[in-house]
Order: sequence, then C-alpha cells, then structure tokens
Amino acid sequence: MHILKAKTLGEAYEARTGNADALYLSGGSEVLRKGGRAGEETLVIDLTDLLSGGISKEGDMLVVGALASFQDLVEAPDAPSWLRKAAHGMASLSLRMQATVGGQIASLRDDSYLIPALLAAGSRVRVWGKEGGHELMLLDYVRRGGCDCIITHVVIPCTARVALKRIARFSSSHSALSIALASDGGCHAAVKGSGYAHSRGALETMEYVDDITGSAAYKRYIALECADILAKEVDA
Amino acid sequence: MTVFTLNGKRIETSLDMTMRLRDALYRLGCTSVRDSDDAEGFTGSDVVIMDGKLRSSNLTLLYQVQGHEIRTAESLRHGQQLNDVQEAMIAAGVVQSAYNSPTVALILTWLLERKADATRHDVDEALSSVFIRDAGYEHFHLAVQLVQEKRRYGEYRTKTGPSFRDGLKYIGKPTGKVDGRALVSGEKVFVEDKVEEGAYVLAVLRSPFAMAYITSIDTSRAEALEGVECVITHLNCPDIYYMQAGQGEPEPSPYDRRLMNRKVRHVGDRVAAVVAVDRKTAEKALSLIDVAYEPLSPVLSVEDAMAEGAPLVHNGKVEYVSGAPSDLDQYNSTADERDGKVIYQFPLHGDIRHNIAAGAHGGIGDVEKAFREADAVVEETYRTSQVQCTPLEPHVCYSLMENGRLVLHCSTQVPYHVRRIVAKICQIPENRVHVVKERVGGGYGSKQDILVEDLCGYATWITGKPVYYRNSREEEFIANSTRHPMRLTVKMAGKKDGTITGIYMDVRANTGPYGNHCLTVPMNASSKTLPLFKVDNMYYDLNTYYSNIPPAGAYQGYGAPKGYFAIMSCMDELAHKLGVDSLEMALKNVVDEGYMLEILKGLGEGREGNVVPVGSCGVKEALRKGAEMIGWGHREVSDDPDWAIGKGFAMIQQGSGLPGLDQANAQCKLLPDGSFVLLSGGADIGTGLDTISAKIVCELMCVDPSRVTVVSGDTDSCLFDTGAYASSGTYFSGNASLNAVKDLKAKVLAEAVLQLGEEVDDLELRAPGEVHSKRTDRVLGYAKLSHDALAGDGRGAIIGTGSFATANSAIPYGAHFAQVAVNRRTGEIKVQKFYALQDAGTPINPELALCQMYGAAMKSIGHTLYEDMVLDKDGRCLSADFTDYGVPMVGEAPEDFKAVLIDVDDQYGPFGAKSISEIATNGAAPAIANAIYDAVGVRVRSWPITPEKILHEMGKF
Repeated sequence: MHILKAKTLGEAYEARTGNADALYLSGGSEVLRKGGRAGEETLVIDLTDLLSGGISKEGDMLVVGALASFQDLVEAPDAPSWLRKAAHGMASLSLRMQATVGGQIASLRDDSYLIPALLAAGSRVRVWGKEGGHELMLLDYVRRGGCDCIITHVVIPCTARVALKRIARFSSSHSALSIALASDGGCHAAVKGSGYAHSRGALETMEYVDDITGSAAYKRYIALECADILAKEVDA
Repeated sequence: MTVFTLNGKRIETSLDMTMRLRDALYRLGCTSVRDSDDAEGFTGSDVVIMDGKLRSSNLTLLYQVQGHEIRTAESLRHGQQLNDVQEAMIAAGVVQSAYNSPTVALILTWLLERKADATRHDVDEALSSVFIRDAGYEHFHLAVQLVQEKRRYGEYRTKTGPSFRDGLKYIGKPTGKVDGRALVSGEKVFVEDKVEEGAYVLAVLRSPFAMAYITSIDTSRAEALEGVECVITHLNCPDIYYMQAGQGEPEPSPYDRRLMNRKVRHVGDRVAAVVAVDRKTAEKALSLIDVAYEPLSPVLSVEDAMAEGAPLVHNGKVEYVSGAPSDLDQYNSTADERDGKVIYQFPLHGDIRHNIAAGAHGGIGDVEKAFREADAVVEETYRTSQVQCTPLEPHVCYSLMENGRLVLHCSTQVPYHVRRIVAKICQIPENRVHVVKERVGGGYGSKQDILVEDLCGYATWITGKPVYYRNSREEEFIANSTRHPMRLTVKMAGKKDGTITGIYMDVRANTGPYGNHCLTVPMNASSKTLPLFKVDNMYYDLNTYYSNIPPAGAYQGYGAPKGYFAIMSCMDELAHKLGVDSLEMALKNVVDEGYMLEILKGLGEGREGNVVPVGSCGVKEALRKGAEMIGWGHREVSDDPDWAIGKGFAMIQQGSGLPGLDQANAQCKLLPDGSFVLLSGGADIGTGLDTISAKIVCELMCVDPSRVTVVSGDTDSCLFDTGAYASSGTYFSGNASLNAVKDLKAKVLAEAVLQLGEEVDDLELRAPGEVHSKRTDRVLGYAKLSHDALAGDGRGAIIGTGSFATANSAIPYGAHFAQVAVNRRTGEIKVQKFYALQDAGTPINPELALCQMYGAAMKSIGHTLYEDMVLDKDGRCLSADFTDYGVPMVGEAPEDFKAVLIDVDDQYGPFGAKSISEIATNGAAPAIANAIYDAVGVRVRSWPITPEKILHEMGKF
C-alpha cells in the first residue's frame, strides 16, 4: 500500500476523490484489519495529523473529535451513560483504544453498536468536503450511504435519553442486531446483512437475510422484540 | 527511516515503513509479540503499549510509530529477573502453552501500573483484549491478587493451589512450571523462532471445490518464475499412501491420501505446493499455476453420505494389509483409478462404496428385552457441530538438511509419529530424520495430526533447502483437524425407581475427506460414556462417514464430549419422564470401585477390549459435592421476570492413555557434577509434563529443582513415546519417567555400595543430593559419586532407563454442574455458575491441573453455546476467522466458576496420578443443555445451543 500523510484536509480530500482505490486512515482497526479494504495498491491517506480526538462540551452538546477512540468515549466524564455503554460494547479494550469514532461512522458497518445509538440521540456530524466544512444530521449521512468527505467531529446531544441493546452470539462477534431507541420515539437499528432501519415500522418491513449471525426469521423476531423491550426501558 | 522508542531505547530502522509493526518488532528482536490471527485484531497476541495505551501491532504500520514510544513484554524482564506479574502468572498456573502469555503479562503489568488496586472487573476488562484457549481466564484473577498481596505484604497470602500427599515434597504441590520463565518472558522457544535468515517459504494452492477431479495442471509458468525452487503436485509427489493422524502403528485409520491427490475432497484441500525464496514469490507462483477441475457434487452431512446413490468421496481401490475379505476383487471392480487407494491396516468395518470409513458395534446383555420391560423409554437424537481447536500458534514447521539428515523443528504432540510418517513419504529410514519438538503454542489434539510436517519435510528433502511453513488462520479453519460432527441417537430405558435398565447408542460420525481417527474419535462417544453406567444391557452401533467438509480429526476429549452431550441429556429426559430426580438417577446408576466393566469387551479400538474392574473412583463424591455447591433441588428466581434460571449437571469420565496400545520410555542421567538430565519421549505441549518428570527426579533423588533439566520430544536424544494424546502424558510418560528414575536410583545406590563399601540396605538418598549411610553416618555426594564413576578407573556413566506399558487403566471421573439464566423473550443465555469437580488421582501439578480444568471447561462451554464452522451448500466455510467462528472470551466466562479436585489416590498412576485435562471437556454441553431445559422447558439437542434455537423451540417464530 502507499501512504499519503496529507498536510491539509483539502489535500486529503482531493487525493481521495481523485482515486477510487484510496482510503482514509485514522485508527487503523478497520482499514488495516484482515479482510479490510487496504490492498497492495491502495492509497492510504493518513488523517491522524489533521484531525482532533478531543472531546468537549458545547452547551448541551458533546463535541467529539473524529480521532477520539471508543475508549475515550467510555472514559469521557461528560459522556452520557448510554453513549459510554455503546462505546464500551464496540470491542475489546485494546481495540477500543485504537478504533476511532470517525472511522466507525465512515465504515457504516451494519453491525455497529455505536451508530444506532448516535442516530437515536439525533447526533450530527461535521465534515470536510467539496465546499469546505459543514455540518449535517448523522441520519442524512447514513441514509446517503456515507460520502467521500472527511468526518471531523460528531456532535451528540447530551440530554437525549437513549436505550440500546446488542444481540450477538458472543461478546466479540458481529452483532446480528444493534438497536437504539430514544425517548422521543426515534428507533434506529443496524441489522447484519440488511443495513439500517430508522423506525419501528421499518423493522417490520425490512428485508432480513440469513447469514452466520442468524436466520432472517430470527432477526425479524428479535428486532421487533428488542424494540418493544427498549420502548419500555426508555419510558422508564 | 523510522525512529521511535522501543522499551526505553531509541530505535532507528530502515525497515519498510508500510510493514506491519508486529513484523517489524519481531525482526527487531521482540519475539514476545506474536501473531495468532493474521491481523484480525481478535486474539491479542500482538498487543503492545503505544504511548501508554494498548494497541494491536498487527493493525499498525511501522511508519505510524514514528516519534512514539512502544513497549513490549521484553521490557518486563531484567536479566534473569522476571517482574512480579510474570512470577505471579507462573505461580497461578496460567502459563501453559503460553503463546500469548508474555502479552498478557504486559497487559496486566500496564493495568497494575495504572490501577494498583485493580478489581476483578478491571482484570476482565484488560483480558477482553486476549483470547486464551489453554488455561481459561479464572486464574489470571488469582495472579493479579498474588501481585497485589506481594506488593502489600511482601509475600503471597493466597494459596496458589491445593496441596496433596503430605509426605511428599514436590509431587502434589503447586511449585510452578519448569519452562514457565522462558514462556512468560517471550524467549525464542517456538518453531518460528528457530527459522534462520534465508529460509525458503512453502505455500500451498488449495482447492476451491469441495470435490473435484483435477483434469489438468500446468505449473510451467510458476516454475519459470525467478526464485521458485520447486512445485509439487499430484503428478510428481511420491506415490505413497499414508494418513495424517499420529496414532500407534498399525493405525486404526485408513491410508487414504498421498501428499497431493488427483481428486480434491474439500475446499482447501492441497492442489499444489510451491517452494520459493520468499513469501511474495511463493504466492505469486501459486497464482501462475493453471488448474482445470471437473467439479463433483459434494457430500456435506452424514445424511448426504448415507443417501442411496450418494456421490462417493473415495471410490478407489481398497487394499488390506491384513484381514482382507475374500470378495475384495469383486468389491474393487467398480473402483475409479482417479480416486487413488484406500489401504486398511486391518478391517475396520469400512465400506467406501457407501462412504463408510469405519464402523464398530458391540455391547452386553439384551437391550431389546430391557426396552420391552421398562417403565419408560426415551429415544432422542442429538447433533454436534464441527468445532475447531484454534491453537493460538497455528500449525507450523521448519525443516532443513543437516549433515545429510532431514531435521524438522515441529510444534507437535507426536514427534515419533512425525518421524515415522515423514520418513515413509521421503522413502528414507527413520535414522535419517531428526524431529525436534519445540514448545507447542497450543495443540488440543490438532497437533496430533501431521498436517504440515509431511509436506514441509518432503519439500526440504527434495530441494535440500531450509523450508518454513506456517498455516494462515484461514488455513487453520479449512485445512486443519476439527471435531467430527456427529449425529447420536440414544435410547434409554428405566424403571420407576430410577434404575436404568438399557442403553442403546447409534453414533453416526462425519470424518470429512480423510479418515484421520475415523474409528478412535467416534468410538470414544461410546467407549468413554457407557462404562460409567452400572447397566446390564448396553449396545452401540457406530458408523463413520466420509464427506467433503473440512477435515475432522482429534480434538481434546475425542468423541467423549459428544457422547456425553447425548447420553447425559437423554438420562435427564428419562428422569423427567419417570418423575425421578436426575441426580438421584445418576447416583443410583453410576459405577463404583470394583464394579466389573463387562462393556469394555466390545469397546476396544479395532480389537477386543480388556474387561477390568473399576479402579479408584471419585465420581459419587464429585456428584454429591457439586450438588451441594450449586444448591441442587433449590430453584433460583430472578428479579427480572424475563429471565428464568435453571440447573443441570453431567457425570463424566475419560481415560489415561490407551492401555494395551500406548508405550512410553525415558532415561535419566546423572551428570558429573551430581545434577540430572531426564530425557523423556513424552511431548510436553504446555500442560506441564516436563514439570512432572522434573518433580519425579526431585522427589526420588532428593534434589532441588535447580539440579534437574528435562529434555523431551527430541527423537535423537530421547527414547520412543507414543505421544501426547488420549490423556496419556501423566500416566504413560510420567510412569516411564518414574521407572527411569527408580532405575537410576538403584544404580546410584549400587555405585555407592562399591564406593563406600557398605550394604545397600544401609544406604538412603537424602537432600540436598547425597547418599547417606544409616549405619555409619557416612555421606557420599552425588558429585563425587558421579565423578568417580566417570574417572579413568570408574565403572561408567550412571543412567537409568524406564519404559511403561500396561493393561491397567487409571480412569479419571468427575461431575460438572451449571446454573444458567435464559431470557424468555430474547433467548439470551448466561452461564451464571459452573462448577467442575474432578477426580484426577494425585494432581502432581495442582495449580496447572486447575487451570487445565478451567481451560477445558471454557472450550466445552464454547462448543456448547458459540463455536460453529458454518459451510455453504458448496462446502465453503463461512466462518473461517475468530470473529465469525465464535470462541469464548473472558466475557463468556461463567460469573461464578470453580474447579475442584477430588482427592483420590490411584493404584496405577505415578504417585497415584491420573489424567486431568481431556475429561474436563465432557461436562458442559449436557450440564448446560439440561440447565436450559430446567429454566425454560425446552430442549435444544444440537450444538451450538443458540438463542435462536431456544426461541425457535419456544415457538417464538
């Protein structure tokens, strides 16, 4: 692979958009992982000198730098408990110290525990793209299937009340289902093999698929059952 | 140039900056940083500390550490001084096969630097980064506690393990492991550490089809590539049939393969092998090999294999070395020469024209009558899945030529079988082959099979080059031995008073493409279960089928964990049907000491078995004590109505080697300065077998452990031993060491008689290593005794030799209890309590024994609830990495986990010892399955017992 240590976000963005076989690198746990996307000829654009991993409070919002690790979220004093739970459930301690929030969102993995939780809270993402920096709803980013832009921050409403649950065969396996509900009724789920659902109704109509995490029938049942369980939990 | 700080020292390196940090660190001498998962980020063998944070070095490129600070386990040891965490890990018994022990030591050191009073939860958090297969996770908490105590009080306040046999100083005492220091500090003790600069690399082209004929193969472009030394295919490999299981010869498995075959029989089967100057060239060469296949419909299950007109996995000519049937010519008239041959050493009831690799049948009494006259009969079918051993160190071999001989550095359980099989393939006598068993980074049965040494050794033999081969993790899954999937039907009959009157087992096993252990592993489903029952009418039928799944073979416990899942589940079902408490039923029907085991007659492995009485037996004590610990009969109720709690148990047994088949040998030498070297043929695969041998020397010769060195598993220096399998280590290799040391002791005394001029009856050995005359009080130190024996007028070196073969069994017994919570709405399962109680005779290394029980119980919890090799309809494995496959991590460990050693002294084992580890894989599946039934009233009769299956049985979808 080839490494580019870009000096500016603009340079990094240009390099990415001009090369279909280019990837952004932050923590490395996704891109450099076995079966990951970095091949022999891949251009890996290292963002670590360009982005922040800081976590700060701006009013009711928690502003999380894209390079913040999952473990940084777990340990952040201002992070709400549901966010710490989501970050904690993402991976083992060593991976939590390496994997970044920005990298996770960019990957849009369908077994992410963090993304449904952030979606349920109504989080926003700050990105750098063609028009420079701007902010958008994370929901729009997910619905769009991501983009070439660079995620610089995630902005998380601290006051949101979120209940979440992860269904996986064991602690370190891919989730069959990650689901989060907010007190405002928002329901977001990542279903392995099927992608994201953004309402309970969508869970009813979603096309579930058989895979190693479970049968389609099981996933459908468990998604709806967990939605009911969490609805009571978040109300309480 | 990359500049960074490594263990406090500035490093400047010109290594490729895009190299993985793991590889760079290893090349920079940090051999503690291992790779167990090819950068999956799962096992943690590659974890280092970067700027004070844990980080996977396999998921980091070298350039990323520019200007940063890296710390590895090499920083923990100063000279010969280990740090306190390393010392505590050895004391707690967790340093076993130890492939990632240095990393764990680093992580726990880091934890205690950040939080000196780390809690159990903190330790669990830290351990979430590492996969530990051998010792389980429980005693790592003990290790941390020991460190905290030593820092606070200057000494350990908690016992590192129980002690047995008050009259002995070393045997039965937790003293640490003789190779513990080297292993925990990351010394160069594994095969990969022996590979020299410039070694060639072997890579294998593997079949994309589950079954196919190779119609053409063109290697010319690969051979023309610069740096390629040779390409091996079915066209140029030796026409030698063999099998890869390391078993006593003649083997109860068919010779049904060559190095490469014209017919490939599983996805991942060998098609070609390339020897090249480096990995990149070898892999490039693989891509230049042109292969044309004629794909065939695969056979994936026992049902597929049994079906009328099923495709035949082996349809070649059948030969018998002895006992050929009279109609063999007719049988072979439909053979297809493209399939090669299947050679049976003796009849195994195989019928390859019906995909049957082997069969066995036998029993006692009249089961049909028992079923007719019973008050209740239960007949159910249970299924077990394909489970991978997943040693952290994959299969690996380094071979080279030395002085005209082939030398193989191996990670093996069976060095002498490696020597025999490699010599056979290379068509050379065994004296031309030298096998050196290095430390084994996890075997669990899979390294009882000669899966890589055959090809690697042959590659060196024909090229003369040093050749290194290492399985990728994916190859471990698709081309390595696994547990045989089985379908077991058990029919059990009983009376209202709880007496079991008849048991029938129909075992159908799936051996995959080749017949490694096709008789012995499935046999254990019956031969290690039926003898536990005091029942007059018992019968079993066994058939093992060929198929096109990834290969099956040995795995800790052999077929016993599957047999116990079926038979103890069925017993629980019968108890419920009769309205009898299942614990009472177990106590009523389990054997006692002295009970004559008539059933053994029909349970020999390809021959008639010996009928012997039950020897020492702690099963009833284990049942009663376990029942008391778990509160048997008391129903627990959860505060959360969604969760239901249930309890279950299983009584279990195993064996200690194979009486009548196994043999072990050892020698013990008195060195000129009065110290000792014991040469054991036994293969210590991390379990502490060398420590057992060392303790035997210390105990009998009255010397300190520092005066004893054990060399084992080296086929040049040591005498023959069948190998480390079937729980034979302690019983067979240990008894051989004991006999060798007894012989040495007699010779030392004989020499002392001559040197002192005293009668032998007046002499005794005593610490710190001397002969003492009880009559005259004269003393002769071993150093002087040995020196004089070796002088110009001396009588020569003093060497004791011992061998051990026996018809007697030393059977370990036990009982495992589980308490589970099951969520009625989601099917989630939590193992709240797991108690493993075992009679291991005299546990010679108690702390290691406990950790092996924890490790084995975790393995069995794994195959019960999580682990599964999932194949698609074409036989491709969809779960060929750790994350998809599902090994239990610390998060899956029972909340309350206890291993208890039942004190029983055996008459045949060395110092009363029996085997310990394999039996501990037998209990979890039935105990947990029965507990789940107790909790929610549904039975899942197949592995793994997943939430999905529970919900399905509950009718939720």
